[in-house]
Amino acid sequence: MKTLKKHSRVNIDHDHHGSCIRLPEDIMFHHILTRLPVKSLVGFRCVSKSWCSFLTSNNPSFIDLHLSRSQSCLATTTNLLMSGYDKQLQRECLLLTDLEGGGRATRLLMAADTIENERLLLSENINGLVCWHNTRCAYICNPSTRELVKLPIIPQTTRRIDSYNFGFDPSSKEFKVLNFRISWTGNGATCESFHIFTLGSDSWRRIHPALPFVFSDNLPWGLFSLINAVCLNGALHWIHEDMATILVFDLKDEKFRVIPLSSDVLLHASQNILLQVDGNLVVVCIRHGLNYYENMEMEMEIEILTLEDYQNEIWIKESIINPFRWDRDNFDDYVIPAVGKILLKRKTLFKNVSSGEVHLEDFCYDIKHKSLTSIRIPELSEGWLSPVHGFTNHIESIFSLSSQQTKALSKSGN
Amino acid sequence: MATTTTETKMLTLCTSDKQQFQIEETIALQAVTIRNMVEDECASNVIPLPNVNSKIMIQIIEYLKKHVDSSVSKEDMEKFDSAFVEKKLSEIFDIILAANYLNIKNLLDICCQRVADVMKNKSPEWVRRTFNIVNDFTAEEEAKIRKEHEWAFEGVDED
Repeated sequence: MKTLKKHSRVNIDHDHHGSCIRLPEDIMFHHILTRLPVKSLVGFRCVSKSWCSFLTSNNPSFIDLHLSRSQSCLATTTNLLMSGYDKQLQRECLLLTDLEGGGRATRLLMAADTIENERLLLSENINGLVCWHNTRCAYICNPSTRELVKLPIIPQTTRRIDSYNFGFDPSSKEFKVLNFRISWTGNGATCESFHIFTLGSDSWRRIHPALPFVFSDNLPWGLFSLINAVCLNGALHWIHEDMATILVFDLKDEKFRVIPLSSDVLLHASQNILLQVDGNLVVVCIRHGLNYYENMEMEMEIEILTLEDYQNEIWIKESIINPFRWDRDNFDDYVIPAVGKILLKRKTLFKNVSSGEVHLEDFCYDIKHKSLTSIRIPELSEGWLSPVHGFTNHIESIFSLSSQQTKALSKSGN
Repeated sequence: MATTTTETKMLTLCTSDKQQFQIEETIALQAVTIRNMVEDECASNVIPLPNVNSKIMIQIIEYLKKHVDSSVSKEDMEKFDSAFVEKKLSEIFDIILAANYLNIKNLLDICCQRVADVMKNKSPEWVRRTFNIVNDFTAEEEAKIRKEHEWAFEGVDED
């Protein structure tokens, strides 16, 4: 029942026009709706049939304009997506948290299968989409519309590890996933096949690229660094420590190549992470130097190498930071890359032993602004979610995965 | 009345309700539609603007006068813009239509942003009522969409 008061408010809103103005569709759809968060747009699907079909049509100019507006706000947002295991649901979950908003987390998506102890990692966020994957399966998700698509399983061989790498080819405007299948026998591990999945298709396509070096190792671990590529300039990038190179896979012509890396830094580092900051490839080299005189306290050093000139392959050693002392009893040597940032995870501390309260504090180092902040995610302390093992940034996109999939199914049906 | 020197070129704009506005050319030329008319020399002394009424024209001139002034700092200009859009939605709609017709990009942007900010937390019912849109879903169809995306309706303003 509407009250009189509410009616009068409506009249104030609508002025003297009696009924209100109808804005032209171009203004409403392209100038106004492109400025709204995805949550509002999903709700507005039930305004009318024409709104619904427009908002689920994956209209390219609408999606691009909306995306460019949400990307322009990225510099000021502190939202992060994270992947973690929910003990109560017994499922991997994809959550959104605000580093500065007291760290409350919202559950966006849940993995379809119970895959305990098979943690799902997060790829970079590429135009609003992320690939959520482990060594057995992969999803493509749009966290903003809370949609996920499980990629088909490539027929199995025994003892295999799948590496999924998510990228975007700007020349064809296609999202692609590159799969390496690593298998091993008593003689060692090799990369037995390569497959490409293009979003909007319904199956994997096997490719046979020439390799710049032999993808094999005595143990499978050596090949494990070749997961979760960094996508930049329409190509996937991995750091390959043994070869002291960046391995590159071009998504357009589907070929491998390498970018050499200066090896002097890497020899001393205990962990090297590849990420991108402001469109540049960055290698973060982390070194833990033991200091025996101070009772097992460790000095932590971080060196940051930036590929300033991508074409001419020029690396700049930008800075060395020494953020804090690394106390072996209280810290995991555990560093998680996030876009433009690295999260330095600290082992859970039992602050209050009698109540069993778990307190977890992480540090976030922002590479671009060279600042270190302490962050807290309270949900973690309640114990329902652990461990968190993947972070990436959050970009709002209205791209509808279900519409895209419907198109793919109708194509394959023809 | 502002003193006009010989150097200051003036333009006369004529609105839909036949009101005439004499303004400096540099102010008026920020509107791309007017600039094109002047450049194409298809405008004589008086530029007819049949899609804009005088009430809206006064507000647009206020906006253009501020934005032609290069001495205003970026911060002050943002303050002016955010105060400028503090109007009733119906007025904002009229300004949007005029800014679109006159092709004043920044004015269109700030007004559309204002509408988006108001809409952000509103219900589909509010959107239909405000923009005069007929709900052509059956009750079942609408209920189905709502159920599929329940999360999108959490925290939405009550009507």
